[in-house]
Amino acid sequence: MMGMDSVYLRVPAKPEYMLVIRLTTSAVASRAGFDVDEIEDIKMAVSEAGTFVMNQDRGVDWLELTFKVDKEEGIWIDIFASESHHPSALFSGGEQSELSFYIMESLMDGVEKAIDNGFLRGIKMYKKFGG
Amino acid sequence: MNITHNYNSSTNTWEVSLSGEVDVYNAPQLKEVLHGLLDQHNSSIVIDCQGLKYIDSTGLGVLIGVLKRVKDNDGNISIRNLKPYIKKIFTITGLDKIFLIEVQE
Repeated sequence: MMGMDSVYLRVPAKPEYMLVIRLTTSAVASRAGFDVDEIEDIKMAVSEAGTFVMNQDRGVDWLELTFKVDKEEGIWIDIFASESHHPSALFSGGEQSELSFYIMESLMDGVEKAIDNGFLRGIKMYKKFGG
Repeated sequence: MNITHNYNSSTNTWEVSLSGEVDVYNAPQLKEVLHGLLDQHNSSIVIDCQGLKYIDSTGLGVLIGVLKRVKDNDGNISIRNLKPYIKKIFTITGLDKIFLIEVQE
C-alpha cells in the first residue's frame, strides 16, 4: 500500500509493559488523525490484544507490534508474540480470553487471530476513519 | 492505580474510590484489596470511579468475581462516576446489566 507510515514497537512480554503499549498506541492513533473516542477504542483494543497474546502461557519473551497508518484509510495493527519457548502449547481460550476478544471485536472494524497449525501467533486488527 | 476504602457502618456498605489505570499488571492487587474488604464485612460495595482512566478485561474480571461473592450475601456493587468511554466498555460487554452503573456527566 502506497503512502503508508509504519511504526514498530517491541516490548518485554510482561504485564508492566502494557502501559507502554497503550501510550504508544494513543500517540500513533492520534498522529494518524483519529478523534478522541476512536483513540480510546484503538488503545483499549490493542492493550487487550497484548494481554491476550501474552497470556497464552507459552514462555514468550517479547511482544512485537506493527502499526501501519494510511492517512486516507485508517490504521492496521499486528500484535504478535516472539518465538515461544514452548511452541507446542496450544491456543487456550477461557472466559477471560473470550471477554477480551469480544471487546476487541466491538471496538475495531476488523479483528482476526493469526493461528498457525493450532498455535496462536498473534492478532491482526484494523480501524478505518469513520468506521 | 490507587484504591482507598471506608466502611460506612450506618449503611453497611464499603465505599471504595478507584483511580488511575487498572490492567493485567495491577488487577491482582485490586482483587486482593476487594476480597480483603469482603473478608472483614461481606456487604455491598459502592465504587467511585471519578479518577478511573482505564480498565481492561482483567480488571472487569476481578469486579465480576467480587460481584459473585457480594451477591451470594444478597449485596450488590454500585459503580459511580464512570467516564463515558469507560461506561462504553461496560455496555458492550453487557456488564451494565449486572452492576448498578451511574455515569459521570
